[in-house]
Amino acid sequence: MDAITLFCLALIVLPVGSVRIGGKDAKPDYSYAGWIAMMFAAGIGIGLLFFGVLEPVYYNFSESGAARPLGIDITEPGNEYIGVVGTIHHWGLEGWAVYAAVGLALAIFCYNLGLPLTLRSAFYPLLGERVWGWWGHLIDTLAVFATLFGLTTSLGLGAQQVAAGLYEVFGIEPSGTVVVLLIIGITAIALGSVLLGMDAGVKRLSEINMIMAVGLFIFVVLVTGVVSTFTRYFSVMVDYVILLPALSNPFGRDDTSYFHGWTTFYWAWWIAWSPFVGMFIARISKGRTVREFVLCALIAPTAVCALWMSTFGGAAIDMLNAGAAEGVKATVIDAYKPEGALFGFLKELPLYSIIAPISLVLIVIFFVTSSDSGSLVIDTITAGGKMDAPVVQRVFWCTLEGLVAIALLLGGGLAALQGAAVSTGIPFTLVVLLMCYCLWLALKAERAKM
Amino acid sequence: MSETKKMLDPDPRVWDFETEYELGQDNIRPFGLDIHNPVFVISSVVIAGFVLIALANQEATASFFGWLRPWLTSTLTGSSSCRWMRSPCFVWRLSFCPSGP
Repeated sequence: MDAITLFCLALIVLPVGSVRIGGKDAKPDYSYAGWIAMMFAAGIGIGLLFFGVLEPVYYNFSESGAARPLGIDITEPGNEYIGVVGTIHHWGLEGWAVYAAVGLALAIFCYNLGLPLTLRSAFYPLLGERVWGWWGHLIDTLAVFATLFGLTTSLGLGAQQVAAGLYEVFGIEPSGTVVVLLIIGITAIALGSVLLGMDAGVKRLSEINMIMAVGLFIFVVLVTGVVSTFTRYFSVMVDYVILLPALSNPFGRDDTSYFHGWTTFYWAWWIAWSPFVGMFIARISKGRTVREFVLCALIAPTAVCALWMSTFGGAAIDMLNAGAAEGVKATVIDAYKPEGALFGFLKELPLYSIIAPISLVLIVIFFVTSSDSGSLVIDTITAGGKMDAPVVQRVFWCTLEGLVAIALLLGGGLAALQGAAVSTGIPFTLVVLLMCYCLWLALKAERAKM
Repeated sequence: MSETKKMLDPDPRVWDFETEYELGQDNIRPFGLDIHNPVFVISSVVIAGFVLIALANQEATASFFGWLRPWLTSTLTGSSSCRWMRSPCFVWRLSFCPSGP
């Protein structure tokens, strides 16, 4: 992850940053707002809502402090938000760098070099014509597994959280049957989005999603304090920058609960998602320069994720320190019911009866956009890079995603979902690293043509 | 100056991105579909098989994944990280080596 992050940061400042995706005369297909909204919605999915409150609170207060990043003592002045810093580490630069590297490699090999939009194309400099044979089949098949299992992890988490929300809003008791019915219902909505196509389906939903997410964020900022939100944000960002080298170091770590239990899982999960998000953002990024692409795919989402996490997680920590937030305490500290953390937090805020249903809808739309975009990507890979394959194929993959999520939830729940993402993400790490090398070769060639 | 020249004058292999491969040339088109033969077939059969096996053996699936996740995440740290870290270092070095590829 560190090597990929450094590679992406280098692309911003090196001369190859001026290479334009699609050639020097290419024009962007989407406005900045639409492009960033789609990139963000595809890349984050349900994670912000699921982990925004859960993770910072868990690191700070659970396991009697054993899960604190770097074992830092939160009773020391200035360390009260160390859980937020640890969370930002998992949702920050290193994760987004993987998406940026994969997305950029695919975009350059497809739009500049005229190869099919599929993972194997990025290996052409290494494998030559062999990339169209079994080596390429292996790479693409690994990408399909990683994408599908990475995605179903998110879908499973989302379904559990919607079930928790239904209990809070309508009093429907969560159960395996409810979760299965939710996955079926939401997959059906995703199928509708698939049938509507990219512009009418996922793009519009992503924009609605962003508006609702921004609305929820502004509401939380207003009711928890504007000044304290931004003061906390700048404070945790400074801590994040200071602690980033230590947090990124895999050697000699004593904070095993944080590092083994969370960081390693997160890295595998980001990598599992990278073919999906990479292909999706490659597809929508024609006309952008490499510098523009990396800046927007790396810096902007990191800053926004950090703002979200510090607002939700930081406010929850403040409430717990003040002896409030019983709902959060019950779901994160006293018992581990992660799907209930967000609603436990929202319950402490005014207008809960309005905000809770809105949050529920927001989770559902995140679910739908992830499922829809994921089907699009898997379909493109399994159609040999064709972007206009028959829509029935996307319907097939969308349905299969729902089925895998159901199978994993019934066969082990959260542990199975996470285990599946990790087991497919890890082998894909080598693929991503080699892809960075091939991207560098391609960018050098493109730069020389300018 | 000589460094710049080296970067702009790389191994001709780097420039050879020409291919005769045509988009969809390996695709098959049964029942109006347009699918890449090995990738679609292998992926869909393995995943559909996984769903059936997982649904038929829910307890075994739970037990397997309950073991798999902690095993993978703990195996990937400590001494094994050294092996993993060598790959990024190697790629990084290759990428920015002045006499590079």
